[in-house]
Amino acid sequence: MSFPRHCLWLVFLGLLLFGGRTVCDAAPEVSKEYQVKAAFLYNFTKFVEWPASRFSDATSPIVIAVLGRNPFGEELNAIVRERKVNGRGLVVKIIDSADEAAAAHLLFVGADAEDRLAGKMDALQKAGVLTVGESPRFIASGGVINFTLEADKVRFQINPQAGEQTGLKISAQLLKLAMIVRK
Amino acid sequence: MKNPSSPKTRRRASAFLSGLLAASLHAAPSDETGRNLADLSLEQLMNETVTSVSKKEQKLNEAPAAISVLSNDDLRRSGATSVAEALRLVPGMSVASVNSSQTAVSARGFNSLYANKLLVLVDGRAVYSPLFAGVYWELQQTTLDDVDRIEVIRGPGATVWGSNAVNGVINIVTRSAKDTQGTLIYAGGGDVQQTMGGVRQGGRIGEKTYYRVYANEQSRDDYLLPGGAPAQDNWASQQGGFRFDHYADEATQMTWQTEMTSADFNDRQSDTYNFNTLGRWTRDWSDRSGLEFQTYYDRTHRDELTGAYTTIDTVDLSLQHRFGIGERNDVIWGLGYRHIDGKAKQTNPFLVVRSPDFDQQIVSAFVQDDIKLVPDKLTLTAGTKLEHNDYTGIEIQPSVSLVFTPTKRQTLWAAVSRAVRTPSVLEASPTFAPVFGAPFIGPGAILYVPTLVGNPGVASETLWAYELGWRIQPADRVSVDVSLFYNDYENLITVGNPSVFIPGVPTGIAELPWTNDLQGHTYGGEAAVTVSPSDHWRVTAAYSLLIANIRGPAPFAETSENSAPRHQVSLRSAYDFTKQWSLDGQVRFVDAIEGVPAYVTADLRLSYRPNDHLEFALVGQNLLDPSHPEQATAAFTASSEVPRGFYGKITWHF
Repeated sequence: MSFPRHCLWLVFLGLLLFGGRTVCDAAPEVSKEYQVKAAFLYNFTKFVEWPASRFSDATSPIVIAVLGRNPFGEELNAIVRERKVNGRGLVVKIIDSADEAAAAHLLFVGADAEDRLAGKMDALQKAGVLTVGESPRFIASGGVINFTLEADKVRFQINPQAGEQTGLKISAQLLKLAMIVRK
Repeated sequence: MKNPSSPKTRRRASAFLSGLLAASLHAAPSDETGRNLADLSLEQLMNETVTSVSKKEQKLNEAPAAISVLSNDDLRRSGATSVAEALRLVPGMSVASVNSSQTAVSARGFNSLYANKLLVLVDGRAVYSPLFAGVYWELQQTTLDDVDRIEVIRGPGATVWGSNAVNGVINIVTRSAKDTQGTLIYAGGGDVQQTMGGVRQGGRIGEKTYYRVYANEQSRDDYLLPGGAPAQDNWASQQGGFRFDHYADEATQMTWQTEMTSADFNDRQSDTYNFNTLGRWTRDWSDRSGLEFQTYYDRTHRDELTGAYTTIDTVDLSLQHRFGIGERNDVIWGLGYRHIDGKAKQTNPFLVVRSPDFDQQIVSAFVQDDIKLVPDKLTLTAGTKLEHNDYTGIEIQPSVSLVFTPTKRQTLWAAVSRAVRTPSVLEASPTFAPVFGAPFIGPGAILYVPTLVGNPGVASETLWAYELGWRIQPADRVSVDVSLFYNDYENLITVGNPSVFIPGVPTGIAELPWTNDLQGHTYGGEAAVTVSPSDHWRVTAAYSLLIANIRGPAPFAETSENSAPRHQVSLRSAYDFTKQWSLDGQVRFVDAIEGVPAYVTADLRLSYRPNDHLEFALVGQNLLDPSHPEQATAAFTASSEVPRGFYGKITWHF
């Protein structure tokens, strides 16, 4: 049986181009930026204390909500799956509207979902939700923690005043590493 | 028994290869990395480099220029021991070791130890010497761990950067002191790169001020003469310095950095040092508006066995302001002033110093406007630099470019620019008179020593460059970058015919002035394809082509025509076996240049990181032959061959 060599090269190139493409489309790659941000979200739960009233009992889980498009893929789920913080498990919920966030302890708002927060910030503060964003306007609109990118590193800003109003105790260790900003 | 190279076997091999590639494409390792990240402390997370396309990188991606960026990680993985060596990673750069200490670096042609069409800046300070219009690469010994990135622009950048940014601009940007907190210690050595070592200590003063203090040293053994004897060109360098970064508020940053570098070379028969201190104040009111003020003082001293004794003091002031007008215009403008004061002393009879003092002043202004013709799709950039120098007066360096981004993954750009290379002190002032060639019999039947003399009437070299580029990401893990250029040069400076004969006993002097007698064009391009089959593997293949056609008096036209390789091919691979073990390698083919045959060479680096604080690396350089030449001997410097070398290095961060 004869099989021209250039056919094999075509198959090879096809695999390279389309194979790569379909694999990537099927399981979207989570960028390193969001892998790091997911790790930060998990870490924040260790350094923030919520009022006891936010939990039904000593073992009820900490709920992390992600508003809108989920940039973390499976990353955040993979992180929290086998981990506990102060004896509490962690749960991730992807939500579509800010109204659903009142039940969460930490709410992550992607830059593209920020519009959906309009007018809801006060209610979230009253409900005791730690809000985490990633846009230059997030702190000004009442958010507690905001991710920034400095060169190629992820940094975060904290507005301690907003944290207090939300009833959260933010540890000094976390504050020390943050850029402190006021509204 | 079958012939191993029968078509059938080869067919099987290529089927196997595509199967292997497909298998690696299907590997999905991302959840493993995520879980590891979650176990890092907050401090460690803050030091994690995210390779996503940040705003700045995105801007680079939309730049109307052939730009490549080497990140801190690229530098680490390259195994390069200096900035000059690291530039070998950039597609289209020609980097050639002249001898153990000196390197010839250029882009798009005209390479030699005295390559004069490439502007190099370290943290905004020009390290391009006005003396011979080139760069002392051996003095650029910045600790590579503290380098944030090296931006390389192939092609002119004169509208913003000014004169001498003709064939390219290299910006070496070090990290803010904020990003180099804690202690770094590294040490290593080998057979060619004999020692390398450094210490850096970063800390914080109060809430808003960060600092680092550092020192490093390195020494390299003799390179080889053809035949294998040592060339007696071993050398060593030492550097020390500090940097303070003060963040007065979110928008304001003040930087003060001071550094001293010294080196002795050619078996301790020559030495050099550089001292510089720089202050910068920047304020960003918004993404679109900001102000920057920078000033520096720089002293470069050299005492060369085969050259002269020179000291050059430079003071430079610059101001840049950017602002938006309406929705569509972003303007940047700036002013600059530079004063150069130099002294020279003769150390050998072949480089006569006729007038020991020289000085020069350069005043410049530039303005550039980015106009969004169609927001997010089509941007026109137009601008010009106006510069006045004491030798050639006013120089105008305009450029116009168009960037078209049909999709987020594709950029097409085109640019037309003019750039000039101003004459050096050597070419335009009466300071130096180097002997050039063997004595000959001239008028009056006596012997004359041919001697080059500065020509106050020499004009700047000019370039009109026409460039096209295309960057595309056809799939998530594939990116392609292609650029093409046509460069039209006029008034290239070369050695003229004897203009004055000064009789003397026993020999007279025949004065050869520098003249603008060469002209011509070059064309070609660079193409690079990067594929990451998986999160753990990245491969970059690059090819560059350069065709030069220079006219003028022999042999100078031919020499500059053949000074850079016509074809260069490189293949680079970065592979992580596990989180601990990595293997990096590169293979380069460099075409023949005048006096140097083509060669293929390869570097390999194996590293082991048992934890986030410690790294062990083993590096082999120039592995494919015992030694090979990369550059022919030039005036006042002997070249030698680069030997194969190995070194080990331990890096400790805590």
